[in-house]
Amino acid sequence: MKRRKAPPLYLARLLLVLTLLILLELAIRIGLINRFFVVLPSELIPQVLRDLVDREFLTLVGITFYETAAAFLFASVVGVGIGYLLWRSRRLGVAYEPLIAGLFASPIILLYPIFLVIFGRTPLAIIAQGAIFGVLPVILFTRQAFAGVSPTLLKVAASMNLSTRDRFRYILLPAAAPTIFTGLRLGLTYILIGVVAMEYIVQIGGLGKLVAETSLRLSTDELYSGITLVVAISVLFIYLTQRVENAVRR
Amino acid sequence: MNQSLKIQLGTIILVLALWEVLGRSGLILREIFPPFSEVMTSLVELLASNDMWLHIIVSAYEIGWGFAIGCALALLVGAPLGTSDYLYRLFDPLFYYLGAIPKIILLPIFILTLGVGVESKIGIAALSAFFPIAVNTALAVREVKPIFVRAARSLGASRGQIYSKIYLPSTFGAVLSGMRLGLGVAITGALLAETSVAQAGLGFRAIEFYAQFRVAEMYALIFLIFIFALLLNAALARLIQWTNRYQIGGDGRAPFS
Amino acid sequence: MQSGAAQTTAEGKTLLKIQDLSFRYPGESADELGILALEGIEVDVREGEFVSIVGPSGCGKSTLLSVVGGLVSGFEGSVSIRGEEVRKPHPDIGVVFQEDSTFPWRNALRNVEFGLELRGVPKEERRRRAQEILRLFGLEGFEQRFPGHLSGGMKQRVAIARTLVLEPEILLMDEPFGALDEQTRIILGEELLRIQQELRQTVLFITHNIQESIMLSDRVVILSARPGRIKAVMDVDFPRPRDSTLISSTHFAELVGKIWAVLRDESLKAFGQDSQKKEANNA
Repeated sequence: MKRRKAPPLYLARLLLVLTLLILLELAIRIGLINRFFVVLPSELIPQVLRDLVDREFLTLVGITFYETAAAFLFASVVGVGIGYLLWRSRRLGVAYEPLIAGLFASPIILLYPIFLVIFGRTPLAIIAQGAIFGVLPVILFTRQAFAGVSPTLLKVAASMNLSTRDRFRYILLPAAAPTIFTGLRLGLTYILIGVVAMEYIVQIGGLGKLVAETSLRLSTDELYSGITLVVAISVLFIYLTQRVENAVRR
Repeated sequence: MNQSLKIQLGTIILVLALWEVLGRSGLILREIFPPFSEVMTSLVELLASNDMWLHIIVSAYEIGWGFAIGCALALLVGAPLGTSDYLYRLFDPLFYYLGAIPKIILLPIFILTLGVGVESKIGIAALSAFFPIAVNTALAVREVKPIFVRAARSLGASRGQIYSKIYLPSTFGAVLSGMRLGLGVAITGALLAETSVAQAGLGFRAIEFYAQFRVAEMYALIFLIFIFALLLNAALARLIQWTNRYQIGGDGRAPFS
Repeated sequence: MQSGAAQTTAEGKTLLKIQDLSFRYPGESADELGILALEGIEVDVREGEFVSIVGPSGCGKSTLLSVVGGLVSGFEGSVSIRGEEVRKPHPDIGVVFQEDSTFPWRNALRNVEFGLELRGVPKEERRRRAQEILRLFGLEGFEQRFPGHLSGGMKQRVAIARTLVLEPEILLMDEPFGALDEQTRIILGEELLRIQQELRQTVLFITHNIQESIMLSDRVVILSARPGRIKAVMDVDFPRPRDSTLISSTHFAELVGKIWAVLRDESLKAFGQDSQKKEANNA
């Protein structure tokens, strides 16, 4: 019931981030944190801007997005298909759901040496890994989406004597679409994370490789700038997919 | 239920058989895709070797410390956030977005500050574990029904008693779920970091096998890691189910008083 | 039929005294006044008495209960039990809420033991006392059940037992049967009558249900629409022990009519307040 005057959230969040950065700056300047380990935020920002206009950076973003998109294409088509089939056959669905959920919770990314052995050190290995990474949530959510269609809606469909195709098109699909979309967004996010992580570890491709390379150059400025850029791109990407989902779900 | 189990076992056997046949058929190079039996033979040899246990201990050490540190920090940060709506909404996007970035790219910073040994892996594991646990804890505290606190107060509970007898038992299950997720990502983080730069550990060993083209051993080791992670996850899921068994559809006693 | 003074029940000792109580919700900001919820409430509850407070929705009935229960601060006037000011939850005052407040992680027995546990009552004794009161509520055999496996009526019985096991001098009840269906409501009301008579329990009962207030109470206090003021006080002179067959008597119907006559205007006012608010929100 009690309400105190607090600044609006947007402003407060901005202030929070600024305060953290200023505290970090001060801590480094006083010598609380060793300058050798952490870059001054005031020096980092110009560096990030320099690296941002660098054409190579945009190319790297392009490579990462290409790999992500390719993996997502596979994950969405295959995932929605398998999810639908697992809903159609209740028996298989009930049996496979825990298996897929178990896989989803397991450290899939640690399979990467196997992908390297099979596909070599190529973008294909990264795409394959990303696809496996992303297909699991899509399957789980698609099955859930169809299983969750309210029985009332199905009764309505039955009462209107719709053909199987129309039933699917006008009742099932629209009712299931929002949840399927959530699965697709999750899959996409997972793929991006997996792709960047793989790129970093294997040192091929786009953004992840950027961090790996800067870390080898022994330049903390460039390293922090690279990490900041990758974090920024990931955050932007997640924010945008969330916005798209909200727009579509509405 | 029984039928599901049959289908599950059947599928697993089918996949392994397919693996075996495909590996033996020669359709795919044996150097790339060794049959399952060969992988199992390697697994037995691996487990019999002495230095294998060193790697297991190193990885367990990293994961254990990382998880413990991440847990402690997450509980310290998460619980207060859940008690205030404003604070929660202030920090929520920060946690949401930072929690979603691939933490492994921060490894160079950990290596810079903590070195290439176990400490940097502990750092990555702690950071990975932190986010899901902190978020789940904050959410769990937030969702404690105000009526429970009101009722406890009217029955004479002190502030400390409200924490120990209301907040603790009613958030326990959700916090444990967060820990389950946290442990999963801590394992992934630590082992993945080992494959990048390390001197020992299961991830390090796996990538060493890869570099030495000892493919069957590499498969065996990854298989081992997977089985271990799956079993741990399943055990924790069981534990969580047990703590929640007082809820509708469950039975028996609650874990805390 | 005027506020406060009506003196009918034999025992005279005042247990709970509410004097000139007003309560205002905190405003949106420091310089803005919040909505006035209660104004100038005066109620005396004597030992062993059952007093009901009825009023239109949104008249501040529940706020009144929170104040008396010591669960909110920042009110004007005074609330005292045996002359002792109530500012925080008082061990002699027990509260039962409208919402389900049973702890889902404790079985029925351990729910009832909760307050005893807080007070450091030894395990044996609290088990015995909890079992005893559960028996009184007809919950024998359900001790090990968790709330998730009990019906709404049973959960509310557990909640009442949990409060009564602490043997409070006065029991405050905030529409305790409000979330239940009509039949369960009457049955539980009858059970409350029985237990109240058995324990000679003093009760302050809040409800919007006129029948319920008549069936249970010795006195009914009628509140006005917001801000809640005392509109009228009515004595209910049915002899005790009572049961739910009262409902069919003509005197019962008369009393219902009398209370409704007072409440009707107030309920219409409350309805008006409500729709005004909605219009303001829409604009």
